[in-house]
Parts: sequence; structure tokens; C-alpha cells
Amino acid sequence: MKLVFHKGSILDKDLDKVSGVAKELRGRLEYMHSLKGDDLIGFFDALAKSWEKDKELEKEVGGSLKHLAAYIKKGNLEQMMGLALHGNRKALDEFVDFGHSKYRQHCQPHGLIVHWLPGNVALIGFYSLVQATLTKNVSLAKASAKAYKPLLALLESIKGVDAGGIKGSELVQAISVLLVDDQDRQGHEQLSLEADARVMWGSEKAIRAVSSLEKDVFCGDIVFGPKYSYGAIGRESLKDYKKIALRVAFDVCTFDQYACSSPHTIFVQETKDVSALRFAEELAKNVGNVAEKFIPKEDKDEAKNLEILKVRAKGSMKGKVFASKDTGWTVVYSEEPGLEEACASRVVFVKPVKDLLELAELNDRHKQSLGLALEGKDREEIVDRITRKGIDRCVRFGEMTLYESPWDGFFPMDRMVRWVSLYKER
Amino acid sequence: MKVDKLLEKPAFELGQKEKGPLFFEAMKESLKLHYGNCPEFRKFVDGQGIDVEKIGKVEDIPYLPVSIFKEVELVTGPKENIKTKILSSATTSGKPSQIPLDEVTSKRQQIALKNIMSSFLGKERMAFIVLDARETAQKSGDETSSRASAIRGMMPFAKSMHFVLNEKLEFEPKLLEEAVEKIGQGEKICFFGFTWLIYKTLLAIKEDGKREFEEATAKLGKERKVLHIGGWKKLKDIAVEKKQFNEEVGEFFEAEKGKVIDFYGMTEQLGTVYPDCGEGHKHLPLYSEIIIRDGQTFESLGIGKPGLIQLLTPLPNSYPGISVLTEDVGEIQGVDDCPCGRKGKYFEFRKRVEKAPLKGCGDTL
Repeated sequence: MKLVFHKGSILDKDLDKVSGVAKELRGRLEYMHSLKGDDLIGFFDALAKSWEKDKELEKEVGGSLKHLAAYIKKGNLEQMMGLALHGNRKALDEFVDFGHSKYRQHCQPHGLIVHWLPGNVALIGFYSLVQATLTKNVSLAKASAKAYKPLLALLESIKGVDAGGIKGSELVQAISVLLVDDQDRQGHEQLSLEADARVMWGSEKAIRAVSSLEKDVFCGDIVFGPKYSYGAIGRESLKDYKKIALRVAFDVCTFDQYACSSPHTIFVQETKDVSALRFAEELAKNVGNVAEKFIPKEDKDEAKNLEILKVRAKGSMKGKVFASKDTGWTVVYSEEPGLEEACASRVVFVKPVKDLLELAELNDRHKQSLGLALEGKDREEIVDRITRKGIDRCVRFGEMTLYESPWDGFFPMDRMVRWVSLYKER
Repeated sequence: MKVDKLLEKPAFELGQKEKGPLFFEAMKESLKLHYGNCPEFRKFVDGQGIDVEKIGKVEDIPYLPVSIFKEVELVTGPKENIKTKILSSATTSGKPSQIPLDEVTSKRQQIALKNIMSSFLGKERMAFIVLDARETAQKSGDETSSRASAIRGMMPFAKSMHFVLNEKLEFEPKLLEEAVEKIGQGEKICFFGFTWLIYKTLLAIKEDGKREFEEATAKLGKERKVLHIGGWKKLKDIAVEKKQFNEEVGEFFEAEKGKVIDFYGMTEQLGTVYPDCGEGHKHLPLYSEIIIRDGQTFESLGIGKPGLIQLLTPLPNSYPGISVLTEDVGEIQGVDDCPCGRKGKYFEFRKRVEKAPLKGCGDTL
């Protein structure tokens, strides 16, 4: 194990036992408890503003920085925290009345939250680190040796902010980062046993591995596992297909389509004026424009390029392919039923669908976001029927990859706290 | 047929300049055949906006990514003509390639293989000791595994063929003893098998049964070769490099330096194989061509620049695998000037492109 960030400093320290680090982190819980929820929100809002000017950080972190900044802005955090804490974020600081006849409630942090960050994109883990900090927990993050440096750059940036009565150099001491080899089961076990709550990001294999580690009986698990997302356009909405195509293009290009909320298949309920093929053509035009003018592609993997060539070859044999000259982006029109395997790296399928209720059969707990353009009075009934077995969010196209709460079907911050009841004085 | 005319000529005697037009014409003929008789291939070519009549050089012939054969069953001409289907071993994807062969294709592949291999093995037939199970080589139903196909492809060069592994692919000393009894004294010996299986067997014998193996093989002739085929992926997983493999295998089977011959080849283009020459180079026969392409732009690269290996051959008649972009990285090392005397381009296989790691939190489905 290697400790790479602790007490607000970047380190390169070999470690046999995590207990010392865990103890020092727990020592910060009193300080965290002394902070007010709204001051924490104010601090993160100031951090977002500081990022807007930080070109060096943008270079290091890439396009994801804008997303992270939008996420930690005041309006978003207030709304997110309010929803997660049952409608009153003040519960984080004091006992509040939720309408119970006998009790008022207040939430306390679990304590030490251990985060297993995803193998290749440690930045995604920043979302859970922020939520843990907002709920006044301390965090020990296990990052990937391949991808931890941008995360450290983000943590370093916290040190330079002083807002809402909170010094960044103090606050950042609530987070430590470790590297642990995948094979080091004993190291992972130590982390797990220290955890008051475990957050797991990553592949199914990674989630299974962490889940199998021994833990305290009261340690809760928050799983952001691998999920698949797609989109659907209802007949009534198709009149705006040009606008929708632009919004879908942004969803496809953001994070090069590697997020669990990125769409890989778009179903189109055709009209006599606009066919699915016509939409595919329009989408191709827009993906090309977005790629060229707004979100340049970062993925340059050779094996992925070959996979894209395969998808294109198959697509052209079975349907129609619209694509850039290089492997930059690909839109495949196909009439094969069902969802297509995600290739990612800006490869999206467009398919006609007769009845949106057919989508119900495609959904299970592995499906996360459904990009949607749907109008009409039976809109909610349709969504109710198709999401019964799966799908956690039905969102407007163009906003699919925005991280929100609830996520994956639950309110993460609610899972990071413990509720305490106090009887009302008569 | 221009393709068959090409096969009448020896594999390595024409220089690149003479080979160029002959090969290109054969390729064009084959391209038109598949374009006209394989609807999926036709759509693929049309989808790229390519006019097959206007193709003027080998580099412009469209190429299929090799993995497409795992996804789509591609047949040129009537399905009734298909005699067997070759299945590759399912590697990382878990799906095998499916290659339908008709009589014409099989015949061409046999001729190409014979012409190529006789340049390396000579005219005299050898006793083949196959490090595989007899059952592997036996055909079951309408499908043939690529291992079976490779073993059967060697039969024309074998005076006799002896299998020394049992059905579980374990070394069986008794089978080796029986083989030694049958092989005449002083006969040239060729140990043959799949790279990973040879190494696995070698390790097993070293651990348990080395004495029996040495006693049995002591009676064999001293002129020995080791031919191995089938890729390095499984060996890379246990961190064995080619140099180490050659040394260990050469010492174990008592084959001289340069007599451990690695074949490069693929199920999607059987017949055209690429054994190492004495200089360690893989030569392009008259019947196939190589283009190295940049992994980002897919532009053709010149000599000495590593990139993705594309292989072209006009041999396939029953499926459109005439131009295939592999998942292998290699480099063209020279043209017409290998000290071994073989003409044409020669190349080096470097490695498989590593599978793209999963990124982010997205799932495949």
C-alpha cells in the first residue's frame, strides 16, 4: 500500500497498516462536526468559482472539470442535500421537525467512509468524496495507481480556497488517498474493516471483490456499479428532432460516452415526416459538429479503434453507418431489435420502435438512465410502466451525464448519515 | 483464374516488383467475386463509398476488421458449397471466428501451404510428433477447430504422425514410447504443436516425467525441428517471451538453434502461413501481401514503422476474408533483401493489441 495524500499533503509513503491513517482521519471528525452544512455548501461553491479560472487544473483534469464544477455549485448542492435529507438540510446541523408527533430528527455522519474509486477514472470518485464531506464524514479513498494524479490535483486545489469561514487547508485533511494493489487482499481487508460505510465504484468484478471483504456488521454499502443507459424519443416529440439530435450529440460526446449515464442506443418512434433513419442522419451531423467545435475526443485507444471498425463493419452489413473519417464518432442505424452492446468512444445506435412500452422488457437493475423526449397526457403512465423493472432516471436529452441525486436509484447522502431521534418536550 | 495461376508459381522466388501487378490482378479478381456474391460484403464496400472497378492499388482494397468473423457469418456464393466451417479458438472475446470453406478454398489453401512449407521443411518428409491429442485432429460434424485444421494441414509434410497427449491434453509417456517404436532410426523428426500447448507440456514433463521423456527420445534421430503455431497470448499471460521460449524449447527437444520455428498465421486466412526463416524473419509468399497501418489514422505505413498488420490474399473463394486488418502489431523489416534468399517483403510480429480497458462507470450492456 502507498499513502499518496494525507493531512493535506501529497506523499509517497509505503504503508503496511492503515489503522494509523484511519485513526488520524477519525481525529478530524470533531472538526467536521463543528462545521455548518450551509458553510460547507458555500465553500464548495467558492471552490467551483476558483476552478473556472484555473487553466493549469483544467489541463490536468480535462473536460471533466466543468462537470465537477457544475456539480459543486451552491444551487445544485442545496437542492441535492435538501432532497437527500428528507426535505430539510438543516437536519445536518440540528434537530428539525419533520412532522412526527413525538420526535424531531438530526443526522450524524457515519464516521470514516472508505471509497474504492474506479480503475481508470479516479475523478468520478470525487462525487462521492464531496458528498461524504458535505455530510461531515471523513474519507479514505483507494485510488488506482494508473489514474490518481488528477484526483490529487483536485484535492490540492481545495487548499487554496478560504470561504464561508472554512479554510480549505483544514477541510482537505478530512480526505486521504491510498493506492492498494489489486492483488493485496490483506490491504483491502484492512480498509474494509476500518470502514463505517463503504462506497464502491467500478466494474462488476471490482464491486464483487470489495463486497466479499469482511466488514463491521453495521457498515453500510453504497454501490455505484456498472450500468447501461439509452434513450427514447416519442412520436409527439419527434417534430423537434433537430433540437433533440443536438442534445443527444452532447450526451454522446461527454466523457467520450464512458459514463454509466451515457446513451448507447436511441429508440425512435417514427412519424410519417421523420423516420429513425432521418434522425440517425441528423444525429450524425450533430455529433460531428459537437466533436469538432465543443468537446474534442480524448479516447485514443488502439484496441478501441479496432472495436469501432468492427462495429462499423457489422453496422454497414446490417444497417447503415454514418461516421467520421477517423474513428472519432459513429452513428449506426439498425432495425435489429433490442439494445446494442456498448462500444462507447462515441458510437451510438439509432433504431425504430413501434411502441415505447416495448422498452419495459429491456429494463432491469443494470439499466440506469433513460434519455427521454416524450410529450402527451399519458407520459407519466408510460414511464411508470417501462421503469417497473429497471431504470433509475428519465432525463431530458443533453442532461444525461449530469451527476445528480438520487443516483442509481437512491440518495447517496442519506446513506452516508445516521438518523437520531429526540423526543419533543411536552 | 488469376488466383490459381498465382498458385502455380513458387512462393518466394519473385521479387516485389514482379509480384506487385500479378498479385494485384488476382486480388481484384477475388474482390469482384466477393463483392458480387456476398451481400454483406457488398453492403460493407458500398457503405464506404468504394467503387471496386476503380481501385488502382493494393492499399485501396477495403479491409475487414478480423473480429467481424466472430460477429457475422459471411459466406460468398451458395451455402450448399460449404464443406466445413473452421472455428478459431475463442480468445478474449469468448466468441470464435467462423470461416466457411468450400472445396476451391480448401484446395487453394493446401497448395499455398505446401508451397510455403516446402521452402522451410525441404522435400523430404519427416516423422511428426504432435504435442496434441489425436482427438483434436479428428473432425466432428460440420465444424473443424483451427487446431485440427493446422494439424491436418501438416499431414502432407509428414512421413508419419504421432500424437503424444491424451484427451485431457496431458503428456502420455506410453504414446511417446509407441511413437518411438514406429519411427525408423535416423528419421528426421519434427515436434509440432500449438505454442502454448508445447510450453505447457514441456513444463509438465519437466516437473514429472523428464526421465521417461529423455529415455524415449534418446532413440530418435538427432535431426530435429520444432514447429509451433497459434499465438503468444497465453504465454504472455505467464510472462514467457519468444526468446526464452525458443531457448527452453530448443534445449528440451534438442533442436539446434534456428530449428525452433514459430509460425504466424490466422484462421481467417488459412494456407498462407509465415514461419520464421533462419534470420528470424517472416516472409510474405507470392500469395499474400502485408500492409502496416497506423492505429489511429489507419494510413499505410512504410518499412520500419510499427503498426497494425493487414494481410491480403486472393485465396478465399467461399468467404470474403481476402483483406483483413488484424489485432496484431508488426513492422515490415525489408523487401527482397533477406540473407536467407527468399524474395518479397518480410516482417516481424511484435504483439497483440491489448484489449481496451473498461473506463468510467459504464457497463457494456
